[in-house]
Amino acid sequence: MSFSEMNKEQKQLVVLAVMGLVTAISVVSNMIIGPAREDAAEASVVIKEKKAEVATGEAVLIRDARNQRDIADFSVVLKEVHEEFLPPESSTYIWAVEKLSLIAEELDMVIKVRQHPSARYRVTSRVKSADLAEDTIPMWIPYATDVDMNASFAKLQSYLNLLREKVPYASVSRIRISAGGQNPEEHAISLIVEWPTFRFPEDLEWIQSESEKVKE
Amino acid sequence: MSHGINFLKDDEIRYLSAAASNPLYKYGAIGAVTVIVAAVGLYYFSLKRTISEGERLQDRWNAIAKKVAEADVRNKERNRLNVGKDSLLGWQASNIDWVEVMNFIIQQYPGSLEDIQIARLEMDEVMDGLRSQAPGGEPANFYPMKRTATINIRGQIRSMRPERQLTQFQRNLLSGDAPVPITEVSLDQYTQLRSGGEFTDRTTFAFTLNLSPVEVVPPEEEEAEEKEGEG
Repeated sequence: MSFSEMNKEQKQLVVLAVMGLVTAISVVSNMIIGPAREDAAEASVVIKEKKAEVATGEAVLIRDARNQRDIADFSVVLKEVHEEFLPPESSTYIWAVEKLSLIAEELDMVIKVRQHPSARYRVTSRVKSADLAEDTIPMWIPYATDVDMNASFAKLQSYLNLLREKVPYASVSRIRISAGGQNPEEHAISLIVEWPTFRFPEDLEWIQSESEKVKE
Repeated sequence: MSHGINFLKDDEIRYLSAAASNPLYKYGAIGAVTVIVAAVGLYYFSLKRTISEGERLQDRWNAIAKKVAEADVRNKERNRLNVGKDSLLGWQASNIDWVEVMNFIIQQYPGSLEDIQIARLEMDEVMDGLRSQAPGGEPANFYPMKRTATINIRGQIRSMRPERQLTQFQRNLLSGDAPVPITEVSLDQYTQLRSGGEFTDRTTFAFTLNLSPVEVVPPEEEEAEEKEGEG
């Protein structure tokens, strides 16, 4: 049966049904689907932004427990090495003179120890500041001393061997040996001996406080 | 279309017209409506899923954002501390054994050691990453730092064939099993001394040696274990 074969009432019913359908679609589209689409579009932006952020954040949180343990462990290592082998923050020169002279005394040598006159590193602020990108700066700077002596080659070797053994974190960063004038066995020798020290005193304080947490 | 007088009642008319129409139309219409309703429903639920996923992520982020920021700072601190620790342990491990280096150099002289006299020996080490890097905004490669050493030797040899001796000395220095590999040896100058216009057997020379950079990193675990075992 085609539309033209329908009676009036049937036609009215069909038209009513079509109008009802259009109205229903319009209502559903504008009142339900439309707002939901807008919300979903916003949600899509949030998903795009936050999905990776949340995943990274959760990974960071999982790693955080290990990081806290590492910070404590590393701090203990650094504190122990610092206390046992590295120059203290104050009276650094006297500390270095004592270490170097004790070795010389053991070998019956006479040495002269001076603070190296210039910095052997790129100087920056001694204090951390906000505009300083910390990860671009080494934690350590060398504390350098000049050591002068007149000694034979054999004595120099003994001195360097003992230095290596007894002051393991000392680096000899320069050796100058000139042939002796009057005594051919003795040479004029100058050394630069360096130790690593903290560039920022705050780092040492922080490490000390972190290592204290381990004891607690 | 019928032109006869219709004596049928309303519900009979609906029944007969429904019976006269092809049932496929009805099924088609019902099917189409069902498909539309289902599609709209599915679309709606997919939108709701997106919305609730967005809300879930936003809520999760709000809940962890502060902790993540703190953990991120700690992560950077941990990494800096790790680099600092490795540099410190490496500082000791990477120390160049100058005694071994000096002995190696002397042993490489091809002739008798009585025929060579060192007048000046200079060993200079630069810690790359401490001196040449500008701290501040630009990322600086300070890890691992590297010890780069240069050695200058000036002296005198006794030989009537100084070229042969010095070039052999140079070859030995390069090919020998040095404690720190030597990358370059250059003979800066040599002068055979004269006496009364005649060449003598004395020749002064100057060598420059560049040692391979030594990274300031802690010893390998195996080496550390070996050392512990030895200890």
